[in-house]
Formats: sequence, C-alpha cells, structure tokens
Amino acid sequence: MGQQYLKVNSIEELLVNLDKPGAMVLCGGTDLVVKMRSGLLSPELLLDISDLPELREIRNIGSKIEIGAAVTQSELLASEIVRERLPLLITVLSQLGCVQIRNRGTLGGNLVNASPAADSAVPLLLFDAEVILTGSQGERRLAVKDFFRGPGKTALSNGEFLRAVLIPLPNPKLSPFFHKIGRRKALTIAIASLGALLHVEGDLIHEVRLAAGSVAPTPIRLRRVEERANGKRVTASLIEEARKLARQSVSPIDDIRASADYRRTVIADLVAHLFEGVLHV
Amino acid sequence: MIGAAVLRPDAIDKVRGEARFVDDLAFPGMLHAAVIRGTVPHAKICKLDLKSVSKHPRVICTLTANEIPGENVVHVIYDDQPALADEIVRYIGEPIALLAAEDRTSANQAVKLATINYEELPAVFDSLSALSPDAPTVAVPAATEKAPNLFNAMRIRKGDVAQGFAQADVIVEGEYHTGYQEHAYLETQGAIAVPELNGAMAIYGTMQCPFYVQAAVAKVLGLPLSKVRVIQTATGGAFGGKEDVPSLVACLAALLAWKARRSVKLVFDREEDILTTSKRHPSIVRYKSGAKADGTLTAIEVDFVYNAGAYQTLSPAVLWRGLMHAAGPYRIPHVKIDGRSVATNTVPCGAFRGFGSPQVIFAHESQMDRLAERLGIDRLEIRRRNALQIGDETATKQRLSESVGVLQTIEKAGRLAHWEERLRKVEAFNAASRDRRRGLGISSVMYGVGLGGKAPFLDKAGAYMKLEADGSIGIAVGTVEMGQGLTTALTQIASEALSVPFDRIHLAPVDSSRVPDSGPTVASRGTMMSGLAILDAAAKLKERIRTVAKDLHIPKNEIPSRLKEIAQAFFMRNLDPAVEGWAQGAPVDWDEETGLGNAYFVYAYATHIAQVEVDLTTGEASVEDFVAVHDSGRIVNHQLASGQVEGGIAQGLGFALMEDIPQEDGRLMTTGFTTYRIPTIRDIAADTKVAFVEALYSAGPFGAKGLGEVPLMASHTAVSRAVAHALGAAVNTYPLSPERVKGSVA
Repeated sequence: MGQQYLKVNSIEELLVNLDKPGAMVLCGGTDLVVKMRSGLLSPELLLDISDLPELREIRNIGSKIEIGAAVTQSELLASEIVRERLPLLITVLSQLGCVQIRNRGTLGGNLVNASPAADSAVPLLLFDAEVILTGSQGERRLAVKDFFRGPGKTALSNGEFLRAVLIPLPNPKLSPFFHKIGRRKALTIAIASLGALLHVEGDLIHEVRLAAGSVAPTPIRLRRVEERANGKRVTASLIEEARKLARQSVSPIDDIRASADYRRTVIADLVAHLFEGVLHV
Repeated sequence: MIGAAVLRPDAIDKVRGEARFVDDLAFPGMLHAAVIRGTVPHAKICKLDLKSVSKHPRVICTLTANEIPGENVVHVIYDDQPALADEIVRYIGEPIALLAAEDRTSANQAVKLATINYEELPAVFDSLSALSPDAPTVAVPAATEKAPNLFNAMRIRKGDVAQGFAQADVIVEGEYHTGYQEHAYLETQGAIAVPELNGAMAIYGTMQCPFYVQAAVAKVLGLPLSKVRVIQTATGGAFGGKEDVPSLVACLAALLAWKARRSVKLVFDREEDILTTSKRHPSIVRYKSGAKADGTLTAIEVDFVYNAGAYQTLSPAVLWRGLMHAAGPYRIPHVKIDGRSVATNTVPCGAFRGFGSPQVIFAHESQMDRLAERLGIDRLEIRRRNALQIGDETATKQRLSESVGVLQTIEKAGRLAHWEERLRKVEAFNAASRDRRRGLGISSVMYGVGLGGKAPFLDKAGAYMKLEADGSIGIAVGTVEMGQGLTTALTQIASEALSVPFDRIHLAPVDSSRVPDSGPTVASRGTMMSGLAILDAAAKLKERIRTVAKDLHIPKNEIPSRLKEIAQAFFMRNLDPAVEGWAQGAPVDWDEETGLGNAYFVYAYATHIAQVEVDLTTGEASVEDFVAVHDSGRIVNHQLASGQVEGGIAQGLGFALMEDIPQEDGRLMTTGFTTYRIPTIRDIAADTKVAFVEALYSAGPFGAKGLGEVPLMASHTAVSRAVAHALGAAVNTYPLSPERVKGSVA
C-alpha cells in the first residue's frame, strides 16, 4: 500500500532517492521480499540497484579484490579470481542457500541483512575485509567487524548504501576451513558455523584466524583464541585452553534451531577439533 | 505390460506446467474466500463482530456458524468437528467465520478487520496431561468422567503375557517418543465450490477422497448426496494430508458459494496450511519385549498414546492401525497391546503415510535390536528367526495363508547390503576414526493393505469402462492420482486385461458422478482395489467384444488387432459398449473386546538397511548408503514403484533426523519451510538400492498388493537404528537433530 518501486539507473539517482522517507535498497530480494511479505518491513520506496553496472563488478586492485554490492553469489562462485585467491569464500558460498537463492542473492545483501547467521560474513571477517559505504556526503570505509551492530543492525547511516566489499588477498599459506551445522545438508540456516584460516608447519601454528556465525548477536572473530594460539605449538593443554576460550567468546541464544548450550559447546568442540586436526595429519 | 516402465500419461503435462491444479482454475464471477480463525487455544467466543469486515469495499459476504443451512459438522468418522466454531474455540487456527471477496488480496486483508472477544478457558496441550482426571475437558462429548479427553482406547489380548515373559530369558523395556510430522506436499490445500442448477453444488479440489468430500459437503449444506458432485483436480502430493482435510476446505468454500450464489475459491497459503491442517500424531510408546536365548519372541506388552488434537477426525482409524501394527512382522505367542488417542487443545492430527504405524514401528524395531544385543545375536538374524511365514499366526491370531514375503525381504536386503561384510567394515572404520562413527540399521515392517476390519465397508471400488467407436477405451474410477502414479498403473492393468495398447486407453479425471463411491485413496489400496474393479469391467467388456467378434467371424486371436472394426460394429448396431466393474475386499473381521481377528485381507512387507555416519564433534548424522527391499506382490510398474520407495525413504529419513514442529501452549512454532526442514537431494544417500521380492497375492490384480505407505514405514527406523549403532547409545526420541545426537555421544 502506497509502495513504490524504482529501478535506479545511476548511483546519483540512487543517492537522491535514498534520502526519501521509507526508502530501502532492493537488490536480490531474498531477505527483503520475505520480510515484506511477513510484515516485518514495509518500505514505501524500493530502490532496485540490481542492474547498476558499477555495483556488479569484481575488480582486482593490487593486493585487494573489490566486489560490487550487487554481485550475486552465483557470479562470485563462477569468478576465476575468487576461485583462485579466495577459496574459503567459494567453500562458504557454495553452502549458502540453494542455487536459486544464490542466483539472486548478493554479497552486499547478505551483509546488509545483518543476520547473526549470515554465511558470507564469516569469511569476510577472516579476510579482515572492509565495506565501502557511500552516501551523499561521500564515501567511507569500515572494517566488516565494525559494520555489524546487532541482529539486523548495521553501521549504515540514513541515506547511505553499501557499495562494495574490499578484501585484502590473504596469504596463500593460510588454508581455509569452514564447517556449517544445519539441520540438513543444503538450503539451511546455520545453527552454528566456524570458519578458519590456518597456517601451520608441523605442530607450530604460524597464524590462525577464527570466526563464528550464529553464536552471538553478530558474526564474530574469536580473537582470544587466536591470540592464545598464534605462534604456539599445538599441545593437549593448548587445545583445552582454546576450547575454553572459544566457549567464553560466544554468547548464543536458544531458538527454534538449537539451544544456546549446544551452540556454545559445538563451537568450542569445533575449535578444539580444528587444532586436534593439526596433530593428526 | 505388467511390470513395464511405461511413460506416465501425466508426465509431460506436469513437466511443462500445463497440468491444472486447483489454484490454476477460475470460474466466471468467482470469489475468493478467507477464513477468520481463532487465535487462542481454548476459549468461549464472547463476541464476534464482522461489521468492519462487511464494510470492506471488496467483500461480498461473510458467514458464521448460525447461518449454516445443514449441520455444522465436518463429517469424517464421529462428526465432532464443527465446520465453524460455535461458542467454543478449541485450538489455535480453528475456523470461526468466513468471508468472500472479489480478489484474494482483499480477502486476506479483510480477515484482519474481524473483532473477536474471548473468555479464555484452561487448556491442555500434551496427551499425558490431558489424560489426568482434572484436565480441562476438550473432547466433545466428554469421553468418560474419569478421562474426559480419552477419545479412543483399543486393545489386543492374545495368550497370556505373564506366561510369555516367564518363558523369556531376556526382557527389554523402552519408551519412545515422536513428534509432529508435516506432509509438506508441493500443492497446498484448496477447493473451488461452484453452484450448479437446481440447487446442486460442484466441488473442484486437490484431494485423496472425493467421496468423503461429497458426504461432508452434502451434510453441511443439507443437500442430498446426489446434488453434490466432486471433481478432483490435478493433485500435487497428499501423503494422507488430503484424506480428511479437503472435506473441511470444501465445506468452507461450499458454504460461501451457497450464500453468495457464486463460485468461491479457497486456497491456503503455506503458513495457513502448516499451522491449521492435520499432521502425524505425536506419540509416546512404552514397549516391553521378551525372548528366549535363541532370540525367539515370547511376549510383548505395549502401551501407546497419541495426541489427537482438538477433534477426532481420523484418530480412531489411525489408532487402530497403530494397534494392528504394534507387534511388527513377527511370530509372538503372547501379546498385550493398549492404544489410546487423546484430545488436547492443538490442531487435529490425521492421516499421514503409515497412518499411526511409524510411531510403533520405531518402538518395535528398536526393541528387536536391544533384544539382539542382550542375547548376542546378529540383528538381521533375530529378525530372520522371528519373521512371519505362511501358516503363522499374527498378533491378532490371523492365520496367514499366502503372500508372506517378509523373510525374503530380510534375506535379500542382507545380501544386497553385504550385511556381515559391511558390519566388519563399519567396525574397522570406527576403530580407526577419531571423530566419526558409522552405524548400520535394519528395519522390517508389515503393512495391512486396505482399510481392514475396523472399516470393511470402505474397501470397495467401482470402474466405468467404455469401448469408443474407434476401438479406444475410456475408463473412469473413483480413486485418485495424487502423484503416486495410479493412473499409469491402472492403465497398465487395463491394457494387459484388454490387450489394448497403453496409449489407446484414457483414464478420465475423477468425478464422483461417474462411478459409485469407491472408498478413499488411502491405505495403499488404489492399485489393488481400482485395479480389481478394472479387471471386473474388462472381463465383462471382453465378453461382449468376443460375442460381437464371433458374429463378425473374427477369430479370437485377431481381436486385439481388429478391435476398431469390432468397435465400429458396436456403434453401427446400437450395441451397449459400456460396462461397470466392481471390487470388494476379501472378508475381514475384528473383535473389539479381544482385538483379535482377520484384521486385513493381505499384508505387504519390507526390510530396509541404512548406513549412517555421525560427526561426533557436531552430532550431525548423514545417511551414506541405503538398501530397500519390498514385498508388495506383483509390481505393476517397476520404475514408479522404485520412485515411490525412494520418496518414502526420504520422507522417513526426514522424520527420523530433521522434521520437527515445536509447540508452545498450543501454538505451532514452524510456519514455513525455513524452520520446518524436509530432506533435500543432498540428504539422500548417494547409493540407494531398491529391490522387490514378489510374493503374489491370489486375489490382487495380477498378484499385486499395496506399496504406497510401506517405504516410509520401514525407512525411518533403519536410519535411527543406524544412528544408535554408530553411537552405541540409546536413541528413543525423534528427530535425531545434531543437538540430540551430540547429547547422546558423551
């Protein structure tokens, strides 16, 4: 009722309209349309950015990759540079939703929706990626970790939109790990997920980065575990400490998918399992 | 033709999207209905104000209980469910009033304009609490003073269980819990009511039981049965969910059509469908089994309770099938079984593939494994030793005289799965793996085909068959195609019987005015009962054809190739080219007091073996490998039968591992497929072998029995027992979510 739809043709047109009351950006619509139908959101003006060429590019700039907000998950999965340099992102996106959802869903949309279970947030946190936010005042860059402010809440100000994601190419020696626990093997929202980038030599951890989804109000890095483990050798006591620290780092909730207890335990056990894996190569 | 993998006649239309489901149909001047529903679990309706609804510019009419021209009931078995709640609302989502609008969006908006004031009453949601004498009374009328909510209590008493347990060397006891299962058919519930001349009403809709719908609509409108015509539209899955519920949907649409004197469409969206229509009964099953040292079963004692929801609908029948199936496909001399279904302030449960049997199968097969474990006997072997054979007596003292293939299913499944070798491999894997465990599960079941001794009057079917002037054959039956492939199987049976090519035979859509009441399309009876009716019709038609052929000097062996010539003769000489066929199930009987009798005329059997792998870190269970062997007598179409088995495996896997509807104070917490998870293609075992042993049934068409429900019945316990084997722990509650499995790892 009183709802308008506008397919914008330029970023300028988008910015002009984004200031209007009740305006919202529509891209893939895989979350937005669902929320509109259930009455959770009732935007008055939908600004469709899905065909803006500026937002649909994957660009390699020096040591970084810039991904336009409207690039679909399927396009990322097909991208040569992403496949080559960001294998973790491929692993994660190939488990996000289903083919039909990935054909419409975008990287930017998955972030802006700010679900604690947003699959693509986990690798972006691990990459220390940034988001580029554009408004009529200009552009600002923000670490992905600072972009999430709570379930459904982001650092976007009024009149601002997410233009692109900037990913520093990780050291190729960092091997990817991702485990998403769902109630089935595909087309499922994570009960909990753990992602990691890990560089080990023998039992020596040169570098480890850990991030988890669905276990806190936002997807999070497990910094305390990382700090404890970086530069250390994997021992039984390190594993137990990591398990404990991981447990302490999360603040999950009970919901229809699982209990907080399970989430806490399973993240701790997955972290421990990851380090145990180093000992059992 | 029998056994051949012919192309389904409906395949191309469905693939192209040209098959017309109920929501694809429109009639001139058609209105769209919406249902105003109760929002509290148990309450007196103090005020129902529809003034604002009526003022909506696109609303044409509203309707409340006091305007119903016939009886305010949805006729199923006991007539305790009103079409529209009158005075008392007994579950969240119960229909209270109706409206019809010019378009669906307006109809759905106008629903929100209704004002209902309630005086809330104490409510009860789980079966055990509802059985307490001081529980609020939900059932209408109250069952007994001591147990007002005890809808049904049924029992079996055979032999003397005290003696049986005294003879046992080992006794195991267990308690098993299962929750709701949602049918998750592709097409939601829907019906269109179309007023016809002379006060008649036609119903178009997605359904399994056109004659149930006919009876229900006649009753609610106060019309003679002859003035209600029911036409089944292309039906996108049912699984029991379209056994009783379409009667309610059709009644609601028909009431509005009667009042508005216009066609009215009522189609549920997914949320409305999940929240307000029938599900599999949540269960608690207590099971005690005794066996001798060699594994021979001596006695079982079973007590099970099903949460029926606010109205009985099909619960008596569901409970009865649970009772008849609680012993499993085994020889047991001493049997004591008690089943109860209980009223609660929750959505009425109803039919779902397996119909009250999967819950007790979970128990009886888990018990078999536990006996085997205690006795140190292989799990396949203990089933082999106890499997029913020809000449044996069932738990209801029915002497089995033919078509008992359960032993063959066990042995063939064992061979196909390489049972012993696989057990060794699983053990070796588990010994070597730090964080994963594999397990094997086996499950054997029996299934009484048809409706059985509690409702023998339903086991009939008619067929109308005519020879067209060009030698093609038109057929009408009263059982429906709902995706399971019935049209194909029946066409094959007709083709074989008449020696007419498959593509020269056409089955008309089911229309209640074409054939007599043929019973419901349930209980895995379609192929058998309508198949028999077709055979009866074919025999009569062939007789007439032979007579005419003789007259035309056409030798018998040339009849098939010269049928067109013969048909022309029928036409030119004004001969009657149409026949009617009729089938009745073989006699069954059942004594209510003892629970003994010839419960069903024949049984189908199956054995499934599943291999799972469990991730000990997360509790995720994954089905890796599956073998399913069925005895359903003659298989009319191997490809369709295999497909039906594969679908049943998936549905059972979902029941065991992931499907779940939490309920809070009578409110169902899953409203769609984001939270109600059914298996995807990735959850199905990559390697699934399906095979048949065909123990022919002399009274079935070409020896066929029934198949539809059996795959689901066998599969879920093969999966859950495989998880139990992997964990080396008890598994007593569905679904085996990662959380529940991880909790059992410890």
